[in-house]
Amino acid sequence: MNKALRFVTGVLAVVALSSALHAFEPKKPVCLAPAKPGGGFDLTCRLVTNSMLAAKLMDKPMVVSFMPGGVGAVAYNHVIGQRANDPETIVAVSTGSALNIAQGKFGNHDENAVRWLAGLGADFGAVIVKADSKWNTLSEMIADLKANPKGFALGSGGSIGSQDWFKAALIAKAAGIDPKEMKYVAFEGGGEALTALLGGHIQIYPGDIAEFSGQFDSGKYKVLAVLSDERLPGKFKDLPTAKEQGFDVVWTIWRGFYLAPNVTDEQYNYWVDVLQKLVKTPEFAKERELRGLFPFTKIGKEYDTFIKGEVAKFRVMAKEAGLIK
Amino acid sequence: MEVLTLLGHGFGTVFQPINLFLVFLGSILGTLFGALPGLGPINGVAILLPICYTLGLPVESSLILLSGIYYGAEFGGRISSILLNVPGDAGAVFTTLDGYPLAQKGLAGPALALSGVASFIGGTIAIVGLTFFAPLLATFAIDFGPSEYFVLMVFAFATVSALMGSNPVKSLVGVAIGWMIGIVGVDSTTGVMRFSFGEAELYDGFEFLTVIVGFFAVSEILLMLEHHSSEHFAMPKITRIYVTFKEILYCKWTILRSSVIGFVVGVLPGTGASIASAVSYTLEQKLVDKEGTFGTGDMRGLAAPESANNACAGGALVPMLTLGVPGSATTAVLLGALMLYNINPGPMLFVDQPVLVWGLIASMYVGNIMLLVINFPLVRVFTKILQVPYWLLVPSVIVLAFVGVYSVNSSTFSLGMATLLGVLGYFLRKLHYPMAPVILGFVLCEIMEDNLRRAFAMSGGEADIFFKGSINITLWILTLAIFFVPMISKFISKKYALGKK
Amino acid sequence: MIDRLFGVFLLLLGLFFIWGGASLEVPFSYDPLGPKFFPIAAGGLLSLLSLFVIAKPKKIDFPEFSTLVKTGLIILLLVIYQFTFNVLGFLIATAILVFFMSRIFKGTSKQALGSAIGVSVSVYLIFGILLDVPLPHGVILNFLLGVS
Repeated sequence: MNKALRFVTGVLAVVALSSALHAFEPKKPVCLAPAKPGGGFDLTCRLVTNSMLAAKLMDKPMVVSFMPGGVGAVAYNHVIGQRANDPETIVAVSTGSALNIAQGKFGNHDENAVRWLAGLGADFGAVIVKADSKWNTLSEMIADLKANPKGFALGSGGSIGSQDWFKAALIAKAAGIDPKEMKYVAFEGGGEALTALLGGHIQIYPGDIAEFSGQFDSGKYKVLAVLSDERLPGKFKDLPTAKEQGFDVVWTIWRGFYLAPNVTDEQYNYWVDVLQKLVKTPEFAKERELRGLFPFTKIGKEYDTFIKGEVAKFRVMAKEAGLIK
Repeated sequence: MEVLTLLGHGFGTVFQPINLFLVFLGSILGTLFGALPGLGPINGVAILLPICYTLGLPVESSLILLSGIYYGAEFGGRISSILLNVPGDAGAVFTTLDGYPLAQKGLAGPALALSGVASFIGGTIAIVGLTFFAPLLATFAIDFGPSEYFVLMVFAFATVSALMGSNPVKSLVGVAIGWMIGIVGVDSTTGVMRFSFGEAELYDGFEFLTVIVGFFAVSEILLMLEHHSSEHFAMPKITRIYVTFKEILYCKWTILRSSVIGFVVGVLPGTGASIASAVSYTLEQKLVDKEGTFGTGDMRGLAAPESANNACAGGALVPMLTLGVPGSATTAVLLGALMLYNINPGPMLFVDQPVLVWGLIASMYVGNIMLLVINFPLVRVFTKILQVPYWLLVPSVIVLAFVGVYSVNSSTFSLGMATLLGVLGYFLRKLHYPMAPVILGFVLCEIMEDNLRRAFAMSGGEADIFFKGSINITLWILTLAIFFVPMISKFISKKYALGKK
Repeated sequence: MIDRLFGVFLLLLGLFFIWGGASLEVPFSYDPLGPKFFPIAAGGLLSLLSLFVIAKPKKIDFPEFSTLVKTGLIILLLVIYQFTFNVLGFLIATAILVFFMSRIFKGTSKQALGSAIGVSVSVYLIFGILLDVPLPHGVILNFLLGVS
């Protein structure tokens, strides 16, 4: 009996020692995509899981699991409520989620409820019209909108308060129109809005450039402006920004990740380190290009500060638009 | 005949052994996913998509497998509808109306075989349509704006009003309840939360699958308990397991009409198999059901929704391949599959990815034939389900249905919702409220509201937008015809009868 | 009687939707109907219809008491299943559900036990392992496997 006890304590001591010697490393790393397979968050997860595998930075392959609902609200509540200590799971997040957090649409939780890990890629807004539209520049379009605010319908894939709507609202503002007074039609996803544009049911589609790239070469549409700070590389290099046409409208759709609220600093730092290493590899750069994303890298503390700034900014915008009190 | 050359290349892709195997696998898996209650095409595709990707299958093979699961599930959805009165998926709700009565008469075998033939014809007509008219149909779909969708839904409601037949009050209660369930969740125009009680899981509203499992699987099991407890309980006997040629010929016009309707409804983005099968079922009821046998086990009442929902699956691929817009919830996941492979779907898909597109289309010809061939020997196997004792059958049905609901968003909350809806469904059915209107209210009202409000947002609140354009005018005329033609024909036949006297 | 009672339930549900729709807070809307109109219309329709049901109820045969008790038991089992699914894990929660359901549907204890093990294990193998659906292991199994 005594011997057995001594043996057990001995084993326990060894186990404790060895686990103290080895720093944290996930046994079953998971990327949680708060969307259906193939959705935007799935693509965000694949950016990390694919390049991580290719660059061989982790012993275990990372798997993607799915939890759709409310632009990430379901996953946010689930992680905070049921997996608060889980250090194995990183969860995908984007501008759309931050907007909803700012408007209180993530339940009782605000932006301080999780640990923000990293932003790893971005897409940018774009002003898209039909190929046979009379407008060739953003200025022409805005001038027409100014002259006749109710004459043209803007339409995109989201409700009032979504990131699609905010793009439309910023364009309306640039034309001196109160966003409440513009003509706006909310469709179910960008694809439906593009189809409505093609059918002449709406005249202006404020979309996202990477999401649009499949339609880019079809010759059916014109891009009047991209909503980025500088011109974009590659096949989009000839597209003028809104800024250079004299309208200060920029819209970045960043894509990133967060960790559960109660992970230890050691666990958090493990992820920060491994992602720091990852973004320097050519495998990551290649995967990012394949996903149609533009460089945007903020990791650890920098990302945390960035997100909190974004949510604060969105809160002001939502208040201005009368969406929250 | 450039199309034929391209299609020929497509067959070249399909006849590679690996792809041929995947068509076969997709057909089998799809049939199973469709047949199991609670597991429909959407779970099938969503579950297999990450696996395909992880296995590193090339994109055309993945798509061949996944779409095989899609139309295979539409094919298999009829099985539990007919045998257990539990629809395997949304498109199969209307299959229960005549399929289950047929099984109770001991005609489960012929019902399964006939619906297999109807599904095959519907599916094949849709693929032919997809092959030759896809670009043309795409332009037709583009012309449908919000106002046209709204009038289309008015037309659909007018058609299905036949379902209200014997008990209009209780049928309308069903519509209202379905309507309310559809309202729950975020309002797609203003982003306001409606009746979600602060539950994040309700933000996107009720998942279609949860509603089907609750209203049909759970409530059916509660009802089964009653039949089961009664003294006179006996399983229906199975007399024969084949369908005669005469029976198929009897349904030929129904099958052809329903296939065309299903295909056209499928082409329009945002509508789906449930609308296609509802419209074709009720239209057939109006056209051919002179003796009032629909709903009591009429072969035509079974053939109509089955050919329509399979044709719809083919039709839904038209906007997906030509415009990059999903024609149904399942094609939305298929589009996601393309994105995962870094293919941005859009109008250039036919030009940029001919191997993919034509391989897929050719695989559907092969897949449909496979499904038909697999189907006949399986009829015997499936009818055996009726001999499984309840103490094994019932728990299995409920576990499979709940795994299906759980797999959509890995949440036990949906399980609770399915139970809740099941209890509501039990009372509704117990008190003779018909269930088909509930599903219609759920599907149609949401599309109706969204498009009504979109159209008003476009017109600045003017109603004249609904009467502009040739599509709207045509749809209004059809709607009026649906209402008045039966009345006029009744009037004329009465007069004729009087004159004879 | 039961028909009339359910009619009252429908009336309350209808009124709840009218009230809920009317009390929605809408910052602004681009269409004249807004998000309030449809809930109010649906609630109104249901309330109106429920009056017909309440006025003219039909006699409904309800099953005998022992069957109703069993119906209640099944509902209870399903509720328990929802809440034990994550804690006990898929295998154990399912086995419990199947065992009792099987008993309710007149299976012998042996048959029920066989169904419980057979259904839970085979569904787990097919969906959890083969098809990679993340079914929960539950606290006990996780502890045995040494996963936190």
